[in-house]
Amino acid sequence: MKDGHQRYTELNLIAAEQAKNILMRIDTKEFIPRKTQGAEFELFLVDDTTGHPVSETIRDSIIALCEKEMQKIGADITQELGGCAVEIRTPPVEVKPGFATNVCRVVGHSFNCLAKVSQLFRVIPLGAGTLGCENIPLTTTKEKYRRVPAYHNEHRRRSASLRLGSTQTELKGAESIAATGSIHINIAATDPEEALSIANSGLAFDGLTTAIHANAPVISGAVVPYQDVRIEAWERTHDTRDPRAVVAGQSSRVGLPSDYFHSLRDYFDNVLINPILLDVPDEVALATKIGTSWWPVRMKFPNNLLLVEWRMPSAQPSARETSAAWVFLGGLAEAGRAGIVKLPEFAIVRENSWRGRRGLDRDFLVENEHGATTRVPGRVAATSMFYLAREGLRCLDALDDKAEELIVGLEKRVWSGMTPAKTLVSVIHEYQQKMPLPQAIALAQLHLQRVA
Amino acid sequence: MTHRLIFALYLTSLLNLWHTVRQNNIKTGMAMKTSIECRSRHELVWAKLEPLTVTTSPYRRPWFGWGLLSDEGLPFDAMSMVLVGRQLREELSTGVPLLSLIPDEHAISVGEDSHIISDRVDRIIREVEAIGDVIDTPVDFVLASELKCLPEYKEALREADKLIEELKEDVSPYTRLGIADDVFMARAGGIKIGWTAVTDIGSKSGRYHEPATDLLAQIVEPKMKAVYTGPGRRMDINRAKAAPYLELMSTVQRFMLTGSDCGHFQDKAQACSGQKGAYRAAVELVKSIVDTFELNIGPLNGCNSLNKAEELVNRVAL
Repeated sequence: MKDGHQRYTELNLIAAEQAKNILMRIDTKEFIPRKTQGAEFELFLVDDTTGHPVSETIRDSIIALCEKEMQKIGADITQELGGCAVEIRTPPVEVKPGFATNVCRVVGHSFNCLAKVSQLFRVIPLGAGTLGCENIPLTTTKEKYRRVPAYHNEHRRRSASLRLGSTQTELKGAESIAATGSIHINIAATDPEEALSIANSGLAFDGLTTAIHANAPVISGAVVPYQDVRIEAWERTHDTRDPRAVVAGQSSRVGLPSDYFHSLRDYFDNVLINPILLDVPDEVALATKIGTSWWPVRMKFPNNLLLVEWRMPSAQPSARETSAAWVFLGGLAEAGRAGIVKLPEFAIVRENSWRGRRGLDRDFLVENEHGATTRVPGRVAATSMFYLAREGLRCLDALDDKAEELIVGLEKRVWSGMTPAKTLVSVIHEYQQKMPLPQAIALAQLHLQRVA
Repeated sequence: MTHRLIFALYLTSLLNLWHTVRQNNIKTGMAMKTSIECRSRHELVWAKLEPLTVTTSPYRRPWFGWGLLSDEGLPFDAMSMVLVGRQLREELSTGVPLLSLIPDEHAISVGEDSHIISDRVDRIIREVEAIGDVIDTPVDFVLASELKCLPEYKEALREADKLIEELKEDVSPYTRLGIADDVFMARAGGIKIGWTAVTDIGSKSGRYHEPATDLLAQIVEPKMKAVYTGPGRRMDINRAKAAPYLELMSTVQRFMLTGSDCGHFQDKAQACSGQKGAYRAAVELVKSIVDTFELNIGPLNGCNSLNKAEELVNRVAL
């Protein structure tokens, strides 16, 4: 019988061996080349009158009833960290003419199915970067959902402040992120170079993507001075860095890595350096370490596939906005695949990541044609991303009227500055005239979801 | 005995070298002043301490410390340090946040109660983070008590102790830790943002001011590099200069950025206008901070510098 420490050491070694094995298999071209994209989106289930999170039992009943219907289109629905949260995984969609229409169909069907079943329980599925209710939803009662937050609570460094800026809002601990939801796009790559190009492009777009899709200005019953506090909450509650790493300005397993990934080996080095947090079967040791590296992008290797996961945007309020986010990010990823994304200095990526959480109103850094860094308003900085998204889709003949319609919708959002976060805050202010803030937040999120 | 002789010779050569570098500093310092001056009509940087050796390892981030010996909040002058830090950070272009060292261990070393210090740590982190947000700059925090466990910090402290022993100087526990901080941070690629009461940082006046500690640290670690703002200001002709980041006396004669006596700048200025030179210097410093802010970050509401400074106080408090 091995003790816990021995087992974790063994798993870390197994993960390193598995990484080596993948590098060897990639050299012998054992991976299946694909040009498809799939998505995962997390939604909260809330009571349709109070906006409060439902119990785990109700959530699980809804999942059970949805499963069959989802399977009809090859989608999948599962539990998430939050006891009231679900994750929908779509089937892969080929990036070719009709891509945007297919995305809308898959996303629309999934949303409709979940909404219909939820209605039976007087529940509404809510798409938000953070659920703002006062008492954070409980985590799902599974060992992995208990152990990972517990590890971070135990090992968090003392100077990691859980209080958000100058506000009185204090995060409760690593469990706080049970109240966060996001959209992930999985892009299949044909070879490691392509995977790296897509992954690094994702890092380059991190800040602006967060700002464009900002949908998390609330947490723990308060409105916070962020348009998207989701990753900020993750970083603070999961900051277990050694003080040496803090002084050196190195990042943790949350937020940005310290630099672009220079090779697949470099990516694995970044993954392997952090200790494994779960006692899992040997065969998933590396996958578990990848799964607990919460950077804006990940590279995954399931079933002889090479997948790059983009994880930047918060969950969006409606099926339409979720589809738009997918098509927009999908286009950007294809631009990355095509090698037409000029990566800025990583210092700019870091800076913009910090700004992105604070919203599009901040100035962002961009490199001009002479290579000099300038500050421009967020909406101006985003212009080049819309160009690249279109070009990326055009490369695979996927820029049709539907794609254009979705991208134009996002462009309008950017130029008006009315992100879902801004809309939510304005509704909360209206509600706050009549009721206490935590209640106003819950009802405002509910109201906007109904409208969506 | 031989060791002592070698050390004395080493010290003499270092001091000679430092003297030469200091002469050069006057020139390079001027260059720095020019670069800051083009962004502000006033001068926030008073002096620089250049490294004694040309180092290949890059400087990655500016860092500063904060005082924990008082509960009064931060004086408005603290803005001068963070604004200089912001400017340096932009010049370094690493995208790494400013680093704020919270000297909890130092305060405890001079007899402060650890529970009180723990509360003050929470307060200072909250306040400095809010200031960072207002000046559009990320700030990281690290506690001195976190650093003390690192072998690299222990080594820096051991070398500081050795120097103190060799110099036979009467050095306070606070200064001892200050030397170790400087050495550790310089080796980690940090540039210190400090303050000085006089522009000639090698002068005997202000023997216990920050540059004196830094000069000792530079003997241990020649890579040590620092940039100094001027002193904070009190509207009191008997004691006009003060640390920009700490208020140990009454806050009545000082413009406060945070704490229970923050704001009320016009009232305070009126009440203290009889303090002549000290009053003028305090208002001048507020004006230079407000000007630097407006030139680098954006306009502030208000019809004069004191109104604008109050607007900054409100932004930090939000």
